[in-house]
Amino acid sequence: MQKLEPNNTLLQIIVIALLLTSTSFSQYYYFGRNKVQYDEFDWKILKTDHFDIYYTDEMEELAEIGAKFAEEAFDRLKVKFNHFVPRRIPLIFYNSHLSFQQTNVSPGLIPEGVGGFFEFMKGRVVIPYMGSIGKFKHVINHELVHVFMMNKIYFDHRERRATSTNYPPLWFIEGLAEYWSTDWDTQAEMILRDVVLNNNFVPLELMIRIRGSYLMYKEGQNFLTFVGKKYGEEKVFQLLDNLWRFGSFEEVLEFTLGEKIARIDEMWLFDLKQKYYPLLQTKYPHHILSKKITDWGFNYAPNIFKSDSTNILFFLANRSGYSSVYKVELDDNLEPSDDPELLIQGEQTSDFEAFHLMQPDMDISRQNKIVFVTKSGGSDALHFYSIDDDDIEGTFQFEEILNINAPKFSPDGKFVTFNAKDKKGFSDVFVFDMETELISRIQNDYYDDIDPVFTPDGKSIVFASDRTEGKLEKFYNLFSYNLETRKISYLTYIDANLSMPDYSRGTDELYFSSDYDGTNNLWKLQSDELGTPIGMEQQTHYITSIYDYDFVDSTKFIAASFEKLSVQLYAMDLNEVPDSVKTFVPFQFDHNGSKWKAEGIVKESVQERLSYQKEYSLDYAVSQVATDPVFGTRGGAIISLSDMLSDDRYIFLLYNTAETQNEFFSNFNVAITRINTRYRTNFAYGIFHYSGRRYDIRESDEYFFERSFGGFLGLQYPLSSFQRFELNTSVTNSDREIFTGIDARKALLMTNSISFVHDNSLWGPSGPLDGSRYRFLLGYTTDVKYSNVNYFTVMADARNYYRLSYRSAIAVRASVYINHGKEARRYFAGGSWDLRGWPRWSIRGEKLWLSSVELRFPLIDQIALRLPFVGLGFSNIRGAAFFDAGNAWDEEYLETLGSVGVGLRFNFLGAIVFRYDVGKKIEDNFNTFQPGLFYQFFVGWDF
Amino acid sequence: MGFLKKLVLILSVIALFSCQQQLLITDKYSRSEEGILSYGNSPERNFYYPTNLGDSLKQLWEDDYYGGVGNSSVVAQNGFMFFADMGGRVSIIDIETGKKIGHVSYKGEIVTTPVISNRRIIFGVNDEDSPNSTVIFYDFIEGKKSKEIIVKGIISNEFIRHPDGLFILLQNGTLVRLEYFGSKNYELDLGEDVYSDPASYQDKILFGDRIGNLVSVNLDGSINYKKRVATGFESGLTINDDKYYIGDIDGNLICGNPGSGAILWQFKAKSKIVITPILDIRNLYFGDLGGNYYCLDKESGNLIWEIKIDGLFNSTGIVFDDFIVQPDYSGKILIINKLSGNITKTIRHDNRVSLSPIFYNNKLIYNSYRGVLHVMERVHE
Repeated sequence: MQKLEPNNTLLQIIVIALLLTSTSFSQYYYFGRNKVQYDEFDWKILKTDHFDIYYTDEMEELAEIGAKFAEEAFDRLKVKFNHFVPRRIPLIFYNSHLSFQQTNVSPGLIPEGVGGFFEFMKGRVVIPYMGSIGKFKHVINHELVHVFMMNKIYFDHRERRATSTNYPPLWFIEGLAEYWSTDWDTQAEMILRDVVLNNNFVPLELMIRIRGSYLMYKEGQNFLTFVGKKYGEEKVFQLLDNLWRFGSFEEVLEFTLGEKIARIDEMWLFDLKQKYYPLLQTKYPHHILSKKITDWGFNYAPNIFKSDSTNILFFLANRSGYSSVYKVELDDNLEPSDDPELLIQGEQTSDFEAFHLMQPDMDISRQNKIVFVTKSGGSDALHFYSIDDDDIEGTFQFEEILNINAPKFSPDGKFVTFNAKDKKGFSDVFVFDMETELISRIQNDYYDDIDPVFTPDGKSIVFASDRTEGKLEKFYNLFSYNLETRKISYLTYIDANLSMPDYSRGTDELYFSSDYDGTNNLWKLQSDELGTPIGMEQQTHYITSIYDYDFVDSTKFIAASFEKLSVQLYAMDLNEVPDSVKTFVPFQFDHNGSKWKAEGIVKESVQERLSYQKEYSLDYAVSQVATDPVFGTRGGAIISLSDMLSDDRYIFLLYNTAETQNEFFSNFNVAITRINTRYRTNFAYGIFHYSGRRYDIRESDEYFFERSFGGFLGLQYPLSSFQRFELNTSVTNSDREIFTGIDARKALLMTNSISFVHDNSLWGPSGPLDGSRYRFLLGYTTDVKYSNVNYFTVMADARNYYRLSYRSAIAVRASVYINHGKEARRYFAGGSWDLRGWPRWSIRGEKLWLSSVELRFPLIDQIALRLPFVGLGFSNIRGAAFFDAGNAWDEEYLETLGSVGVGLRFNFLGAIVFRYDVGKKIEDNFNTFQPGLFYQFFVGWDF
Repeated sequence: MGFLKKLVLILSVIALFSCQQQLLITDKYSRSEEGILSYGNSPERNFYYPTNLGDSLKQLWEDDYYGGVGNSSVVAQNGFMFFADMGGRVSIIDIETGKKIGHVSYKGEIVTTPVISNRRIIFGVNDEDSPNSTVIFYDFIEGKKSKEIIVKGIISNEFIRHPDGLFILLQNGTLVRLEYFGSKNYELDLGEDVYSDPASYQDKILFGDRIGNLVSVNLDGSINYKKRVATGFESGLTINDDKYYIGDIDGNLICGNPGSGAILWQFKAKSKIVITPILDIRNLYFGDLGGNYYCLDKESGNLIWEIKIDGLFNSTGIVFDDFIVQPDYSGKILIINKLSGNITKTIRHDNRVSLSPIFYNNKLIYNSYRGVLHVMERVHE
């Protein structure tokens, strides 16, 4: 594959602008991670009154439940919005987040934290089932609020013949979706407590700072709750209704609520302070009552390993941008002796492709083994690590299981229990026998059964579940499963959510996390003399949540706790908690032993059930007209059609470069491409006809007219999400006409190439900071008819990034590009993306080599300029110090060119990076520095 | 250059045709003809036509005027229809032919029904980029604006065309009284926001406010009473046979004494009510946002029949001696047998139907998405 040539600038602009969607891809898809289709889904369609629901065959029961939720949400939201969505709404359900990550509806990679999305091109809603019926209902409602909102805004503006559409800011869009889809829950409460009490609250005027974050969602939801309470529920709706009226949402807010934004912010914050400040009287921040062990990154799943002389704490964390396993030695006071040490690096190889942070995915046995979970290919894997041998002992994946969470060893170390999701989407408890390497499942239903733990005698498994029925239906309570009788019985019955049961060391008392007092704190099960559970006793009174924890002994434990918008590890001694705060809450068991039922869609609302058939519809149609003194005037359009799942796409490119009327037909450029990403091997093929002026790049003002037509085929096979093979072949009939000094030339070109690509880089604001990227290509181009062209191609491009600190790195690049043979095409270099200081594309040759070393570092975190009438702010301005060397040649290598300098980088809105470099060129085989300096401004990501 | 000349010519033609045309009727106008001069055609809001619609409606014409409407209506007189849209345009249309006689445009939205008074069409424009609105008095014989009055607030509630003047209740709860020749009598803040169309009865203005008060105001602006009867109102109020009828946000249809505000009975519907109830000699009809439609005995409030459709009712229908014509926002016009509740005919459109229809000169007039007006002629009486 050759570098894109400057003569196809319009094509470049159109294709790049449309295909560049995520910073995980390089500028031209040259590198990039892979979205691997591990599964071939068997899709079905369920058509209801208002929805077309696409689901995989195994999850039919959950799809019918989801269909019912969707229809109920439609009926509720049409009243809320006083609006009716006239078109049928496509809902696409996936049976797990792992399957959801394979969706082609969104072309980019989907991070762990995304729970669903609504996309604009075809109005599709895409939702993974995460194991919980309650959460499924919430996400469906949340996304449908988006559907109604966008539809209403669109219609309101069209009805008013508005030439452009005013959309509300993201915090309002997501805030409203949360406000009208779910109640104020424990997580939301924790976040707001934290930001208000720790002075991290972000007012409306500065919401742009937290754009896209979970905090933005929750502040948005809370603000609308405040508006409903203070100004009236109808004002929330009027904020939408008045959108057309003003150019800025600030004006809409002020007009609708009748007050200035600053005043609204003041009253909102005061309302929150009134609510949360009194908490300080009876509850504690973690940093006051506990000992902080970590102070950086997100740290989770603490597990203590006690040897004779030491305590070693193992945990999962993201401290560098990659989630990994860490360890740190603790002294007798549970204070760290040193900084945490990286034990197992995640997110760089396919074995440990991703950790599920914020999940208790690790445990240590008494036999000195660690079990932990990572994504590995198409499903999760259980890994066993020997502490004694400091090595991975085994890795297990199971065909029927997709997701695994919360593994726990049995007391004898022979079994591991965990909760997992299967292909139906059911979240159940499993037991893995380490000797036979077989698994057995305890339940097989849609109740969300999580966080299993063996009892100290190994005869039962205690787990949390939303199967609670009776008047406390659907709360998460604790249950016990007797391994011998196979019976499930209630351990708790309370109107709160319980999770993470575990036993203390020594006393074997059962502790768990509960949100009974508004946030997750540690509680202990209390039983009578016969061992029957009678209630629970509160052990901690933190303001914000404890997540996962592990006991060091009978009273000391280490917990992953949330505070100041981060999750850190804290050590705590229950002996230090005064008895006065240990509230006892009795259970009042009031259930008849049956289970609540999740109803599916009623028959009357089902219009049709079908197998999936591809129906193509428009994704987008874009046209452009451009003119410049070099290439003249060009106009064109690009149209994309795809099926509902976007597995199969057709792209039509049409443009014309005619400068006179009689050139109109001869200068028509058209390309039709089909791209299929349904299978693990992605393929693309197409036909094209291009004609127009081309530059020869031998002399800067020589050009020729070329007409070429033909076809191509491309295959991409991902080995993992980090590596892939590419195969490309094309046949092109090429006719060149003379302009100045170049002979006319006909050729029937056949080009074949094979490439290997590797990319596990981690990106910062302006380019990669960690990991590596490689591309190796072998190719051959030959004229099979006239023998006018015949050359081979070798390309090697290797880039490594050596982390110095969290935000700085040294980046190293070495690349070689060789075309050798008859009419070999030239490569070009020069400019801000390679040999800096040299004019763009001024260095040309059939062979090219390039090497760079660059120090990347943060320069200015934030700079703000406040003028009387406007304020400007810039953040994340980065610096670079670089050295480049290389050159290009045809036959004779003349000299090595280079440059050295420093530069600034500024990422604008996450979409484009502005670059400014200053330095000196190095000429004459590194013997001469240029007099003076060069100054170069351009756009583009770091290499 | 040749191309540029063509371009200039094309742009000029576009500009020429997009210039507004005056609202101008030079002949056929007679002040004495009653017509339908305001929303509900009376201060009490009456949507009853004491005639049979019959079962044969023939489409006379339909045309696209490229302007969406809210839940307001059109007015008609002398064979002309006056149609105001959310794009700020008011048009005169010949009802027989559908031909647009003229239009005027303003920067803002019009979401209420215009009022005809003598030779003037009066309408309220909610100005863009402004918290204010403008009431325009337009002389459609001379073809020019005769007066404009700025009011402080949004005009979203229907005007009351009272013999003693024009009453406008702004969304912020300000009552404005205007004389028909274009002067402002008063502009009074009555306290709470109002999202409900008022009605008038025996020289009183009656309406429900945002927090559920039923408010009675004298024509001089003094408050007669303010009585909390519900949690909030977004439905229009209608007065019939010395009783008021209004729906609240919790789905209660309330009937009361307009003199005192006291509730006589109330009926619990399944969802929020935003339309004005319509009444004939015996019964009351209304729909809710959940797509439920009801017929009640207007004296007792007893349910006579109830239907449910997949849609929502947010604009007021009209009732004849035999049928109800009820728009469904999801894109349908329902012809409902008012005795049985059976839907005898459903006229479907691609998109939302939002206008409150009128029946004028033997013609049924309603809209569908973005300013498409439909005129159906009654074939048999």
